[in-house]
Amino acid sequence: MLEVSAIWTAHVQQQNYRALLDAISHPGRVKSILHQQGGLASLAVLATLLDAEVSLADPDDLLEAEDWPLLQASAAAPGEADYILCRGNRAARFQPKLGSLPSPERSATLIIYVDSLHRGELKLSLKGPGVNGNADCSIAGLDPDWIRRREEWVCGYPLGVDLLLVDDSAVLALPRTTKVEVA
Amino acid sequence: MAYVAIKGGGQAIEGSKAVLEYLRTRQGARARPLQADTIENQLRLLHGRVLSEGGVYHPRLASLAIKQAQGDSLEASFILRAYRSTVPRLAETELLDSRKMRITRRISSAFKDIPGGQMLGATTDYHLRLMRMELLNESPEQFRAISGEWFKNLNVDEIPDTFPKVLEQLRKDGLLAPLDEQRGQQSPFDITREPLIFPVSRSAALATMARGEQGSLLAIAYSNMRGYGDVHPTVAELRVGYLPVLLPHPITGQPMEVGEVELTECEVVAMYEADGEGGKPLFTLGYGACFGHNEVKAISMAILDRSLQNGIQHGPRNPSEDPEFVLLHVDGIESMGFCTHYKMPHYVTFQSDMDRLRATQAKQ
Amino acid sequence: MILAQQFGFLDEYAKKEIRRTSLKAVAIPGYQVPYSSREMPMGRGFGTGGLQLTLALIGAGEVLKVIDQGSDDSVNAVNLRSFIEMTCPGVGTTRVTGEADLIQSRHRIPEKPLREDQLLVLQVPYPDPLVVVEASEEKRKQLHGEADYSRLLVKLYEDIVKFDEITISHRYPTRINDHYVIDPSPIPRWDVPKLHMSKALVLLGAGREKKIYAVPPYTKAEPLAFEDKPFRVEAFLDEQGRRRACARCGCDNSFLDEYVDSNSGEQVYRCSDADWCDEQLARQTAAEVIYG
Repeated sequence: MLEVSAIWTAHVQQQNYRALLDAISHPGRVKSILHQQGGLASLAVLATLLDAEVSLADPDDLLEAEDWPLLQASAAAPGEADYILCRGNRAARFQPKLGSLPSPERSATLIIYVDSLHRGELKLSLKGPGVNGNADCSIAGLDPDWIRRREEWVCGYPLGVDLLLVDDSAVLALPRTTKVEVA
Repeated sequence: MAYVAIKGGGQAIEGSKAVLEYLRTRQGARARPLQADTIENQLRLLHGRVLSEGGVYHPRLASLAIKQAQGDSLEASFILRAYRSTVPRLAETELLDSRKMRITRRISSAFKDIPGGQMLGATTDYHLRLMRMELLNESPEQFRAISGEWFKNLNVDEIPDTFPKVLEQLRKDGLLAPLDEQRGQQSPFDITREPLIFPVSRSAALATMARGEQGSLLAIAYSNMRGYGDVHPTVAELRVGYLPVLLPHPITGQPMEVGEVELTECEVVAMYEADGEGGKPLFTLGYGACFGHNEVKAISMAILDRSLQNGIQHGPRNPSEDPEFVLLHVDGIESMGFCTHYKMPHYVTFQSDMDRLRATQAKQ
Repeated sequence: MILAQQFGFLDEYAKKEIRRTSLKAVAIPGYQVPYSSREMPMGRGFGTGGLQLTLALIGAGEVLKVIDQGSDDSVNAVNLRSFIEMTCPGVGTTRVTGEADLIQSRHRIPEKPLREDQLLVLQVPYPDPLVVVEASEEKRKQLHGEADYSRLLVKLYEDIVKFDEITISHRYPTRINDHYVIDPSPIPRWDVPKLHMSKALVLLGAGREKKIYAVPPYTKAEPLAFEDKPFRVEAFLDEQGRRRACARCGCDNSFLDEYVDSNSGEQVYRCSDADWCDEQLARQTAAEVIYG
C-alpha cells in the first residue's frame, strides 16, 4: 500500500498556508508547521505553495529525488527560480531574482533551513509593516552573511526577496519590508 | 429598503428562484421539457456559441447550461465557465493541425477557385431572410423526413476527408512569409492559469479572443472595418469542420486521437508590409478560430488579430489596435457580470456621495 | 450526471495560486498582485475576488461573517454566505463581529475594532486608483512602481479649485507604508482610518480585474490629502450642526444609513453596521436592567 504523507492533503495545506500567512503578516512571529514525523517542515512549506506553474531551485540538495514529482514544480537555477530552498548555515552564493518596478512580485521567495527559530546565537531586532513597534528573535544556524546579502537584495524597494526561515517544525518570515538589525 | 429588508434577504432570493423556475415551465399542460440533444441539434449555432464563450468543449453541459439559462447566451456561457473553475488541467494537447480538419464548409474570397474547390456547405449567406411560415406547423413526420432523405442523394465516398490550405499556395508563391515551424514548438500562454500582464504574447491575445463574446468582438472589429483602423482584410480561407484532438497516451506518451471538436477557422490576408530586414514586402496575416460554427466570430477575431499586431508594431492609433482596450473588454462573462453588479445595493457609497455633494453645495 | 464538488469549490491548484499571490501581497503592502482569477458561479462584480480569497483561506472549524453594506442580510451577503456554507462543510457562520475568525465584506469595515486574530477580506470592483488619470495598465504599473502619484494629487487639487472640497466620496486613495496608493474598495471615508495600523490583516480581492492586494497589520495607511484641505470623514450633521444619532440604538459615532421611512415619510438615520447597532442596543438594555 502506497502511503502519501498528510502534507500533500488539502486540509493540511490549508492549515499550513494560514500559518505562513500569519508568519508573513507578523514578521518575527514563529508559527508551527504541520509536517511529517521525521520529515522536514520545509518540505511541508513547499508542498503548500508549489505546483506546476512555478519553479524551484534546490542548490544545497535538500530534497529527495522522489519529492520533485509530488511538488510538480519545474527545476530552475537559483537566479531564475520563483522559490529557492537552501541551507542557512552556509553563506548565500547566488543572486535571486528581485522582480521589476512594474512587477515586483516576479521575485524569489527563499525558504532557508535553519537549526532553530527559538534559541540561537544570531539575535535580530525587527521593525516594519506587521511589527507592532519592535520584535526580537534569535536564530540558530543562520550565517550572518544572509542578513548582509538580504540588505543588498531589499534596498531597492519594491524590488526584493522574501525570506521564510524554517527549522524542523516551524516558520518565521522576513518579508522585504522588514528592517532587520543584528543585535 | 425593499431589497435589504432587515431580515429576509434569504427568503427573497428563494422566492426569486421559484418564479424564475415557474417561467421556465410556464408553457403549461402541452409542454414537454427541452432535451439536451434537442438543444445541441436544433439550436446548434447557439450551442456552439456557448461552447466557445464558455471555453470548455463539453456539448452536453453546454446544452444543460442553455436550458438552465432559458436561452440567455451570456448566462449559459457563464454557467459553463464557472464549471470549468472546478476542474483541474490534466494534460496539454499536441499542436493540432487544422489541415487535418474534416471539412463541412470552406470558402476563399481571394480566388475564384482554390485547390480542393470552394465548398459552400451550410450557410445562410445567400438565403433570403423571408419567414418560412410552414415551419410554424411542422409535423414530427415532416421534420424527420428531411434529414432521412438528405443522405440518400449524397455520394459520401466522393467527398475528400481533408483539403489543402489556401495559405500554402500564397506561401509557395512568395506572397506570404514562410511558416515559422519553431513558433509551433513554443508553449502557449494559458489564460486560465496566468493573468494577462501587458504587453502580452500573441498566443495570450488569441486565447482571450477565442472565448470572447461574439457581439463585443464584432463591435470592435466593425469599428476597424468602418475606418477606425485600416486592416482591409481579404478572407484567404474560412473553414468549418471537425478537428481531431490528440493527447499523449498515458503510458506510451505517443499522441493518440481522443475525439474531435467542431471548429471555425478564419485566415485573413491584409495589406503588405516591408519585412524590416531589407527583404521583399509581404502580405500580412490575421488569424481567428473558435469552438463551434461561428463565422462572424472567427472573422472578427482574425481582423482584430491583425489590428492588434499593427498596434503592437506601430503603436495603437485607434481602439481596435490597442491590446488593453480590446482584450480587457471582449470577455462576455466579465462585462456582463460587472454590468449586472450595478443592480446590487450601493447605498453606503451613495450616502457618501450625498455627504460630499452637500458639503460642496454648502460652500457655493 | 452528477458533478461532485470539493471543499471550497475551487480546485486545489486555483487555491494554491491565490495563496501564493496573497503572501506576495502581504510582503509588498498595497501592491496589486496579478493572478489568473477563476470564474465563480456568481457574477463578476458580485464579490468573486473576495470569495476566491475566502475559499482559499478558510478551513473547517472556522467561523465566517459575510456583510454587504454593513448588513448580514443584504441579498448579496445572504447569497455569498449560503454558497460558502454549501461548499465548505464544517465552516460556521455568525453575524456577530467579535465571534468571526474571518469577515468578508463589501463596502464597509465593521465599526467594532478588529483583533489580531481576525482577518478581513474586502471585495473590490476597481483595484487601481490611478485609472482616473491613466487608462493604460502597463503605464500605471510603472507609475506605481516609482510611487509616482503626482497626477492623482493634481486631480485632487483640481477638485479643490473647482468645488473648494475634495469630491471623492468613497474609494478614497490611501497610501500604504509610504509607497503604494491603493483603492481601499468602495468603503466610505468613514472606514478609511480603520485601515491605519489595523490589528487585523486586510486582504483585498478584485476578481474581474484579477488582482489581490493587502494592508498588513500594524501598517501605515494614510488617505491622500493636502495640509490646508485635510481628509475628512462623512459628517452626519443636522441643520443645527449637531452630530446625528442612530434612530434605533442612539449611537452617535457610527456610519449612518439615511432613508425615507415608507410609513411616516420622514427622513430616518440608522447604523449601517447591523451587528454594531444590535450590540449598542443590547448594552443599553443591560444598563437599564442594572440602573433602571
